[in-house]
Amino acid sequence: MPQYLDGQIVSDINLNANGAQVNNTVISGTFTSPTNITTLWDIPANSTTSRSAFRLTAVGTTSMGTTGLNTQWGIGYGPNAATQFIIDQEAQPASAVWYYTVTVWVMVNIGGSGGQAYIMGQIRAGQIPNNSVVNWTLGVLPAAWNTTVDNKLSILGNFSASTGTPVFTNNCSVLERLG
Amino acid sequence: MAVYAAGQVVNSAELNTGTGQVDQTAFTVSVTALTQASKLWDIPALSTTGGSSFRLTVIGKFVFGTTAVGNNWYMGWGPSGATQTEIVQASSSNYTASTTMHFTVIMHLVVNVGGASGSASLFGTMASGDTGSDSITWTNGAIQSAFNTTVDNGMMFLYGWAAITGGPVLTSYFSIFERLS
Repeated sequence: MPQYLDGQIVSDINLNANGAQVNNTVISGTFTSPTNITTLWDIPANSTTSRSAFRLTAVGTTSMGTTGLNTQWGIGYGPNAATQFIIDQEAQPASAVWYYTVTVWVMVNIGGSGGQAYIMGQIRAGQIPNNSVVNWTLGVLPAAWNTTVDNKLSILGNFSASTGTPVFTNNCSVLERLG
Repeated sequence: MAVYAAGQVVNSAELNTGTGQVDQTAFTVSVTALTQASKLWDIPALSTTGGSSFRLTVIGKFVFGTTAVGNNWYMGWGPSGATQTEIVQASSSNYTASTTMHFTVIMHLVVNVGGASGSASLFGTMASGDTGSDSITWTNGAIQSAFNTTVDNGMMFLYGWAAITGGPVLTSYFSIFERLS
């Protein structure tokens, strides 16, 4: 979402923009450790305070190779998104293709250098034909969150091994500022 | 969602607010009666018509004591949020004693027809999981039910335990209310 300054002359194009930013860079690979599968979305220093809220959504596929492995999704947050939290890990059958959506909410509860935020993640995935489905919700309630420094937010993905060459493909992500 | 007046000079604080409204009042439920577990968000009289829509998101956790028990997830809507619509009555078999589950509840309200004899559809999804092996997701709602847009309406999350054996506690930490159209 654009950041506006006092005194700035804002055009109708600015005002009529949606409250969301979209990144449709496709990120793909055989990741065996938690890897950013979305862009590192920026939450600038001193741009948030108590009640600032965000929603990050990512969609993509996980294509298992000839060997069934565990597939997992997580959240990267904080400076450089270096703090990692795993939402879920699921056994994905050999040759199965899962279509997933991951949604992450961040709500800053306390601003400042000693601040905190509630961070929640949700993964939903399914396969055609309908022989497997994943629904999981897990978060960090609360997490340390310093609003005086630059923070990033991302979604992570990886497999438990590279056997059979599984492929993670994230197609796009959307960051919304809700509060 | 911010509402601006013609000719208003808008400052940076107003421009940089998000597209939703946030309430971070914590609600705690440790009883069997259906209890308000989020802010009662207001939909003012005469502010909606056919095609108006809203999304309410509530996030928190629930903790079991020494016994796993069932729990009841509902939506409150209409005047004073008094109309109760079930999302799910989950049985104790979905849960494990002494665990902590994290949850989201997402409700969508769409006004189908405006007016005193109007109608709206309401859908709610609860999703929860823990760090072990428990996860439950459910969706339910009401389709084209009576909804009078000429009076003040509300929307909130309601929760109750099926039993309080072992002293279970649900805490919702915040809710986000978005006007989508």
